Amino acid sequence: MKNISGCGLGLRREFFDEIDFKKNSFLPDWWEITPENWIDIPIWYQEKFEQIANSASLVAHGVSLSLGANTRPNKQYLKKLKNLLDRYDIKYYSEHISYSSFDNLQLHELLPVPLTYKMIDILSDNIKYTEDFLGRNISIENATYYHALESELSESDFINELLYKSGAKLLLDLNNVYVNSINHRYNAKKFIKSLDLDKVSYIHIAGHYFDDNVQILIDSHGTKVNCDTWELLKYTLDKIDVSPMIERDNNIPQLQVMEKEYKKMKKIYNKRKSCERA
Amino acid sequence: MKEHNLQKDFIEQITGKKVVEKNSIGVYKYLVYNNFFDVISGSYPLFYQMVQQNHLENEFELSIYEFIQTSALSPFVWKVSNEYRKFIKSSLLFSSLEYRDELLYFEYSELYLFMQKKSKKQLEKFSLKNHYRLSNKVILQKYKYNFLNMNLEEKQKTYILGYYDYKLHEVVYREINIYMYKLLKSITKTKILKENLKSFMKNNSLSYKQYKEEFSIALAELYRQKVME
Repeated sequence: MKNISGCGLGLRREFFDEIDFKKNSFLPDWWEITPENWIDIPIWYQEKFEQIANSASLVAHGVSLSLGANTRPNKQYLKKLKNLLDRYDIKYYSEHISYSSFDNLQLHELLPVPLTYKMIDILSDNIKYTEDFLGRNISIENATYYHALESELSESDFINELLYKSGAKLLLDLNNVYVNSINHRYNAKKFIKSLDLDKVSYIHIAGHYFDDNVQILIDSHGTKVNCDTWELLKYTLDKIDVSPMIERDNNIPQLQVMEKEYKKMKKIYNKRKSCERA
Repeated sequence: MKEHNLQKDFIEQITGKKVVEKNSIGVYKYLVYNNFFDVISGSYPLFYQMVQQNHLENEFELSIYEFIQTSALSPFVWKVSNEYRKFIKSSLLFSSLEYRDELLYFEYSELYLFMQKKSKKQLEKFSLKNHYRLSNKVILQKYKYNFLNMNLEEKQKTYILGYYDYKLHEVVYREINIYMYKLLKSITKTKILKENLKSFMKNNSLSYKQYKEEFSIALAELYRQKVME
């Protein structure tokens, strides 16, 4: 991940009309794609996606591999995924410390894994299986959780141990850290500090909302990034030199709105880089 | 294994198989249900409209939980709607809606057509002397109801040709007559189009001379739309 520099943005179909290569419209340093959305592409988007993929660096971030499930990652899905990664020369692929399927039933939601030593073994095995299949090292993302199944270790110890055992890199999602810190009442900065930051490949930031029905913060990726998450980005970039990117999966605004957030992120990132040079 | 037992119990609670024991587990039940509700009601807006008009919202909720518990198998969200359609077809749910399976298929066909790979075949000059067949990127279907004008009060046999229009960049549905339906069904690439037309008209007691031009013009247009290839 070190050789991807600058800042990234999640590529969404809603941006396509605004991406105009002839008019030199805004483009991020790199795009992050959700492979599940691009393995099969609706006709209308096929040509544009080819153009975008051939003109910018892509990083892939999956949501349905289900590394913490009771079955191996789906081989057919892995084949399709590998085809996509190879076709567009995507070197970096990440998934979640989570599971979204069980007994092959797909829930399409990132579910919390038990924080146990045995679970570290299960995840590590599946990570290695995936890496062998894809021919790539992968990163794994710290996920949000609204319920703890069982905890033999603290969340940060679990993540550090998993990184050590699996050899995977960490995709550090600062929005998830923030949401968890509020919902489970802990200090977000202390949590970040307790992670093995040398293993961070890149950073996610995103938005969330307070859900009146369930009375907690929900990691929706459907709102703008909040002040506290920006603050966590500054805090983390003061400690490590990695690329950040913004994820927006719901209530997707125009690209020009995302451009403003992107520029804010880039400013923080560049300031960090200039401090480092000085 | 303890971990898998914990996960299994958790899944059974959030998919409605078991009673939810804690509020924090209920959050996941709420999120999972809403995800599926959004995808399914969004893929089948006309069907969901009928569900509402017939006050079948409870049955709809039940159908989603039963579907999640048994039949949601694909890692791709876009495939959820077809899985749901097949699940409903094999169930007794919504049996009061006679048009249930047809309407779900009609609505699903739009997604199916959107998700086809773009045809890269170059158009050549249309000729009755060439070999053609119906493209596998189109849907040619006979329905008992007219879903184009959503008249579900009474049965009305309709023949619909659906395809992706590359100029309009949208899925187009055309109501065609029974002869065009039968003709498109019968065309095979083993014979030149002229021979196809001749045998079709003979089988349907139509005069070749009388209808040749009429069908040729229509077929030429469908060829330009890549309905035939």
